[in-house]
Amino acid sequence: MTYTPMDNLTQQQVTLPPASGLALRVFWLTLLVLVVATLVIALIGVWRLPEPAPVPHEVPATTLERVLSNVATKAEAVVRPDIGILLDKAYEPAYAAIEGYADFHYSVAGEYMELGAAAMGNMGDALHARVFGGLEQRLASVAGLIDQGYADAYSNILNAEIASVLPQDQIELPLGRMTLAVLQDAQNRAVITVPLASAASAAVVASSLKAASAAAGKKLAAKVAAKAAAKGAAKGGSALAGAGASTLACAWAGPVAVACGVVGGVVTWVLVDGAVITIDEYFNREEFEAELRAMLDEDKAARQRFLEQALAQKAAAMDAAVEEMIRDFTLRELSQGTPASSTRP
Amino acid sequence: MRQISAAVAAFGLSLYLWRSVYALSDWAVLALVPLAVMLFLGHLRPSLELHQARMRAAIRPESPLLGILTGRFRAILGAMLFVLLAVPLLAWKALTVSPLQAAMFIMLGLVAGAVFVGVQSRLLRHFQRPFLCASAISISTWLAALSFLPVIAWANLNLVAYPGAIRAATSLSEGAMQGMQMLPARRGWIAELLAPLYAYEAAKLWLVVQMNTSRWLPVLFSVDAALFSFMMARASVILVAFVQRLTDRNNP
Repeated sequence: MTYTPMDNLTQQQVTLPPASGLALRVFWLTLLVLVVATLVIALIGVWRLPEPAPVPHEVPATTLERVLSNVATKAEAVVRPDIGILLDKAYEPAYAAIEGYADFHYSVAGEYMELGAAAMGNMGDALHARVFGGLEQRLASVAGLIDQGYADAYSNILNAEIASVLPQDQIELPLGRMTLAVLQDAQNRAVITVPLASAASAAVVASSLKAASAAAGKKLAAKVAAKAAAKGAAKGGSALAGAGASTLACAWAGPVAVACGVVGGVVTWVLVDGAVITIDEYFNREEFEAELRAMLDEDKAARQRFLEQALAQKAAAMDAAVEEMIRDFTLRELSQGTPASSTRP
Repeated sequence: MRQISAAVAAFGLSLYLWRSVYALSDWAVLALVPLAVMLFLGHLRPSLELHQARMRAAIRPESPLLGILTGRFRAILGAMLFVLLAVPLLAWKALTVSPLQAAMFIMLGLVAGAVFVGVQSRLLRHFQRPFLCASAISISTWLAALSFLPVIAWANLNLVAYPGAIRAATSLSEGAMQGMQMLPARRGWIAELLAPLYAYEAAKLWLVVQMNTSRWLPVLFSVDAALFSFMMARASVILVAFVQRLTDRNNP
């Protein structure tokens, strides 16, 4: 290329290093390396093919559609029993925590803490922390395990079903590109279609558990308040009597007799409280623990129903999508609203 | 013609090697290194010339600013940004194109290079030297890309087949995840870099599939996908300019 004298910004004004012969040689060398590398890869590709190369077996689209149409339901049937087992494991620590919570409930300190929580309106929080602690994470991992189990079951059943439709003399042949693409699509969809892990995420579970423990907390608060009111009159009389007796007994102490009487009253209050709680525990602890167990049973059953429904929805969505999964489409077909029938390039 | 062929060959072979080896190993990224270097240098030289000329026209010769505001920083930054944008996009496209699309893009590269050479020789009589190459790059990119846009959009609409599974996706995130399933199972940092591109493309396709009552949306999607021809044309033209500089003895 030549430049005319009309250029008023001459070469001296533009301080660029001139292109050297070395740069040109590096370029041609790079191009040569790229050509050689491409040829080597092409040759490796050719050499790696077995002689003679087996003709892959393409499963007809109608057969694929028939096979795929019931794999999702079969996988659901395989995974469904696992839901109960996994939930039992997830709820196990919660059931085990009931005894500890009952110990807390039937203690003087626990009673006053519960009364305080009931007065503040957050009775459910203590219950949630002591019984449901960690359950959100455990339930979220249950959903993840079910998703994984479903994907594995789907894959196993799909492979078995495909093997069953192949002719005996072709069972050793590799599957064709189209068939493999459809099977891979189907297996990918088993992972990502309506995953239970998102439906039963830790946030969703946490809010429902909060609601459950808040409802149970409300019931518990009413009971605690009623129990305290019933004990109040008896304890008040005993404490007054204890304080009076202590004041008389401490009469020799002169000016500190009144203080001595107050201490005696408090001691009597706590002793009476402890005695009443022990009697209450003797008669009502089993019933209290049974109520908490029933609450957990109810929550677990609701969770199981929810997960089973979610799994059924996932399987239904998979089955419904089979026809769409098998046939690729062009954008023209979409814009015309015609059924897809083309194949992948 | 030799310069255009050499540039398109270097371009095509880099991307072909990348596509062939990436299925097996992340070392495939080495195939993109020559392409990145060539694009960087090819973008840098005309840009540097342009900025230097502008600075010399704007700043008095006796001003000490002339030694500071050389335009070098801006040119290097521009070239780096171009490479950081172009190389991942080209790499992603190389992994996803069908043979038909690949043939069209190669054709676009050759045409863009030829248009560049033609435009440059025409502009030679009209433009000052430092503005010549930059203007030719810009004009030839637009000419080549705009002439190929309808063809590539038509092919996207009528000939390119998309996996049916996207029609069965029940949500945008599920659609995006289907796009990411096309990445190799071994993942790695390259896959993480490319994942948003796959997810974005699949999510767009899912939206088009969901809004199937609109006749124009698939057409719009095809045109949108064809916009890649601008990136392709620009990269081809820059590579041709780079090779031209190397090989033309009269053009130091």
